[in-house]
Amino acid sequence: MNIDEALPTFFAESAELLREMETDLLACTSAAPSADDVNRIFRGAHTLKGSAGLFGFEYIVAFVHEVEACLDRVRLGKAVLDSQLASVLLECNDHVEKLLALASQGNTAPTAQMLADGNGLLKSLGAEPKTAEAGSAAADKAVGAQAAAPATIGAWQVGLRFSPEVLVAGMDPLGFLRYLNTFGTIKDLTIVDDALPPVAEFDAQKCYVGFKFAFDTDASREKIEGAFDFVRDDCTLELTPPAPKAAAAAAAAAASGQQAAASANGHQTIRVDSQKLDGLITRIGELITAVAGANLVARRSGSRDFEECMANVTGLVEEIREGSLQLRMVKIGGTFSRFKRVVHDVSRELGKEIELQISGEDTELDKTVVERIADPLTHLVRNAIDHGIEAADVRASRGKSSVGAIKLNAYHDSGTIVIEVSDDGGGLKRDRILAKAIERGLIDASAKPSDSDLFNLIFEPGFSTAEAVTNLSGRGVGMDVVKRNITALRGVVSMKSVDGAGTTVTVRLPLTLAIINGFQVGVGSSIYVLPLDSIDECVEFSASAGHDFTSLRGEVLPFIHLRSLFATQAAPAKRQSIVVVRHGGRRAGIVVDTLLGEFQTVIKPLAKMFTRVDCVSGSSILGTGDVALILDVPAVLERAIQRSQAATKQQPDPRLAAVA
Amino acid sequence: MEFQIESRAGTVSVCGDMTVYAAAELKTALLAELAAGNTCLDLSQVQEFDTSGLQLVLLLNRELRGALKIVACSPGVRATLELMNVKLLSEAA
Repeated sequence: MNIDEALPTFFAESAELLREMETDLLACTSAAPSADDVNRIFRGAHTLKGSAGLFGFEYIVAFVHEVEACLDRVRLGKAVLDSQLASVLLECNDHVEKLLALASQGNTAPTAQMLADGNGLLKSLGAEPKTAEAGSAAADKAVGAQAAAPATIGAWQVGLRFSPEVLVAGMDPLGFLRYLNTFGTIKDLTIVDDALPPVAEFDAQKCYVGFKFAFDTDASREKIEGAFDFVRDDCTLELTPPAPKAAAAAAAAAASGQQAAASANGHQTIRVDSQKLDGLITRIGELITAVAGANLVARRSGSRDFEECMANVTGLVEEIREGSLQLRMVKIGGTFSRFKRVVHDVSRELGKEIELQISGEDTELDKTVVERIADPLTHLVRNAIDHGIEAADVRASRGKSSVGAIKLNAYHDSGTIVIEVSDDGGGLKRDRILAKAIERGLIDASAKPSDSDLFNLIFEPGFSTAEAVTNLSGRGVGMDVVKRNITALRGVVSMKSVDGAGTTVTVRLPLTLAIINGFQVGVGSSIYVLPLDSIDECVEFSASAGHDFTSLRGEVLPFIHLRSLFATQAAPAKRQSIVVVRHGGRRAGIVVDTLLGEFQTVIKPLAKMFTRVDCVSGSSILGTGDVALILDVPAVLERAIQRSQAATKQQPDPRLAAVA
Repeated sequence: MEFQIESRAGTVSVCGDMTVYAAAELKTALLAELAAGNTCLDLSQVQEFDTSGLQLVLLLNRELRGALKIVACSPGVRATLELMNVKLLSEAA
């Protein structure tokens, strides 16, 4: 195996280990850790050290060794893992991360600065600081052992069973164990005697026992297996390599590496190149289009058998689509738990006591979305701590608990994922924002914007200056960047606030970026697609002439004619329909000629020259080969509501306010 | 006959080999001693000790619900029992 090929796996696994250790360490800062917790952290450090040694990153081995030694002292009860030690260990975690970053750039030695940093940390861990030489000498030893015995540190786990006839065949299982002991040490042996029959059935010439033990050796797998060559046919041998398995597992994962990693989290996973997944999804998209075409042919052919077959195929393709999109879905919990650290650090920095409450961590969303949402969320959380939560004395005077609360919540809502970041801080000061907005020329001095309109101004670039922040004692740092990032993901962000009681920022994102359940509608000869999840219902079109709204069971429903939106020339059909769409708690109607029903829709991005076209979010190819435009529901909805509001300026209708 | 058995004051002494060749007879003999109330084993005169011997010891111990005591053993047997992590040796042995 080429060791360089396993390097990316090493870095990925190390990052994962560090993250797990971080989570555990953070738990230690709030509550005393159980023996299990300490063991888990220790194992993490141990594995990391082993893998780093395997790849020859001596300086990482030297550093982690001291961390491990410290954790070992905790394990043995010689030291206490209190919040202070946990904080130091967290910093050590960060330091290892930096060292790994250095290693990933191909450096073989740390910079003098990093060495000094590391020694500082080790000192606070209670370890002897290492000089450069001593550090690398210790590491050399580790690496020396490595060179002699690739892929083995720690002990093998061996499970051994023999066939009953082995004794009669002249072989003595004990003999093999004695032989093993000549090139290693058998430890913690357990005799598996559950197959030992009752006295009456016990045939003393048959072998009933098996053995389980740890085998500490530098020998290779081949050598261990070789010891059993004579009884190859009469025994089953289970060999699990020593725990630090990075490189070995990367190559031999299929053969043997699954256990250690999997048992740690209780479920098995396979690492797959995300490009392969993307390729699969693209091809499934093509498949859906092709099946739609085949369906059309089937219907035209008039053969019932053919149609039935196609119905089966369509059902299967739909399941495959669901399944493969599911492959890309990851739980948001991983992203959320990163914020424990952000909150821990920032609250320390600012001297505020803050508790992070997380809910909905099992909510799933597309991996690409998760990756790109982390930064904006970090920003929102930092802002909430920095500007949202008041200082302890202010909180006390307002009768709040001295510990501030930041809440992260996630849930699914009509084809979107909603992520909420809320705090129980001071809230936004409406008057001050209004004054600032007028001063900046963002709104007219005589305007009376609603709370939500006004608060959303915070996402405007004009508000993102430091001065504005201090003046407003509110948010503003880079909120325009947050909004831009979220918009780029076809999401929306909004803000709610109650003065003195807290602020909630709500981020809505589409669940996936590739394939949706679409609802096709026709206007003239064109076909448009609406995401099915955004549709509430379809009703027959009825409205008094000249109005841009109708009554839906007594409620005012603003609507928009798709015909006029896209300036379709063809004459309207006799009976038009209204598709009622919902987004972010608001509803509006879209007037269309025909309702064509539900279809799988593969989203194709629009060419660059169309990116500025409003109300259209993408395109899709139909089974017939025609192109359909996918409507951007939030934009259409916004437009419908604006129009009817503009209309009501002349004919005020107080009921509209309730809808908008 | 590759072994001899003597019992005195609750202790069964085995002299010879405890291997597969004698296992069947050993089983019968030892179980008979057990039924007679002899629940301690003296293995100090045992030369060869293989898996079948080990199994017999385990079987006797199971019959006695874990009360079997090995009061003495030869160096070879001791090494095997230690390797096997079998903790039946009485402290005096």
